[in-house]
Amino acid sequence: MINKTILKRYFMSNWRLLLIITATLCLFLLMMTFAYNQMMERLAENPTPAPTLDYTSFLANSFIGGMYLLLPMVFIIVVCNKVIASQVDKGALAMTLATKTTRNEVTITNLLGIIISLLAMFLVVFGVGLLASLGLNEGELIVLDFFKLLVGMLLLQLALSGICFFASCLFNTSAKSLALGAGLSIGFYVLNILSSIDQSVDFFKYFTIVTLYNPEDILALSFIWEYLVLGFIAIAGYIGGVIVFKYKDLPL
Amino acid sequence: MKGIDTWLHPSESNVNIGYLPGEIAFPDNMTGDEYIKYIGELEDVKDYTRAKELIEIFGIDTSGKIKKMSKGMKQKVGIISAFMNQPEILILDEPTSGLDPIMQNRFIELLQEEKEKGTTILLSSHMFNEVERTCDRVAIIRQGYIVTKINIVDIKHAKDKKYKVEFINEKDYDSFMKEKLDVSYTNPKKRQAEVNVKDDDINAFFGILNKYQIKFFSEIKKSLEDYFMSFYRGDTNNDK
Repeated sequence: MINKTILKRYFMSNWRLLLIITATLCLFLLMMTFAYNQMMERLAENPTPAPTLDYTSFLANSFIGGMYLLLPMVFIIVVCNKVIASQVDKGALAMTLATKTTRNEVTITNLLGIIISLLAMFLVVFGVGLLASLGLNEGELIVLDFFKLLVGMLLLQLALSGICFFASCLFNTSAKSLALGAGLSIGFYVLNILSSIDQSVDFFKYFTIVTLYNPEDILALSFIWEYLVLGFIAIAGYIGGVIVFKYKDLPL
Repeated sequence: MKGIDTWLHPSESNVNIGYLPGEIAFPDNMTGDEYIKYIGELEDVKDYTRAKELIEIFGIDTSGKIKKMSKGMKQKVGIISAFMNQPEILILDEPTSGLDPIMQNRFIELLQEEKEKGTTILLSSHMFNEVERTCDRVAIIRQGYIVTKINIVDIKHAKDKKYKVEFINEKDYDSFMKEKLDVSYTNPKKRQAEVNVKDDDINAFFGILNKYQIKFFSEIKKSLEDYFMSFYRGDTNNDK
């Protein structure tokens, strides 16, 4: 099922992007921590009656719901399309599939690569988050909550990767695969922003999976079904993609 | 494939196949060596001496990036990766496109070598010369359907041959025309005629020729090309 050569190939062609995105994420996380500290200092100087924001929920909205969603989304869109649809489009898969390699090996191995990449990103961000909190923030971070929030966003990323991967397996051209994969991902993101603008367009939240990452619910411990839905979307996308690709007619 | 259902057991069925696509596309950012090694690993190739031999035969530097290679070099890299695992079955789609005549020749020699080893070769090509030199059986495909299958031997050693004759004077030409022969083409101005003669009738034909003053005589070799053209002649407009 898993092909070492293809996995190696996956990391050889994607490690740069993975590194850049992970590094940028860490940088943002550190910047956010600085920003929070300064905000707190200013608040301490002239206290206002505004509700105080603790560090963890500050990160939940500013970092995890922002950069930690957007940048991995870019990675998912680019890499999902690159590993299957773009290879089919260019015809580069012809020689690979003419060897002993099966279609399942190609899809499952690349999928594994994508999941490993997202997990690696998650672990590094989690680690840097802990260090940043300890070093700069005197351990104000509620570690368990931070972890739960990150897991929630990781699940959202996996669900998005499920959709993009499925699109990549379904279509034979990059254009179509991107239209569905990137279109849906970006659409979800935009709808999420729209739904938070005003009460009157609040219903938009039912059309986007991004709202399934819900910091309030997660911190209030009532988040299980949201995680289940995200996990389900991810797994359905993966399995659907692998099956579709195995049985479809390839223009190679 | 070799009696194995490729859908049910995809990996077992193509253990020994070498495939060369018509338009090879390579993964981005790989050097020739990396690509050969990549395909080799996928094929479980342990011994790269054959690959090195092939690199030697085609005289190519595989250390450069494939992206920067010319069409011919890419084709060579493709050929090397298709042949290096000593496949039992070779499927080649226009294998010599992009190769210069010397390399085409080397490739044909390579194919003949493989053929002697007993490799089954499936070759699609527009190059009649290449097909004639390497193939045993030819199928002509027109508009997606096989219109005919023929053995190359039958074309090369056909029992009836075509000869071209040119006469010195008009009188001979006119009386020759009255002979009971299967004349397929005439050119009165040049006093030329093309005649189909069965091998069994060759002596009678020479007897007839003996009576005339002949300026020029030659056999017109039947080639695969003529055979091929006979299927396309007259209705090329329909194909467009």
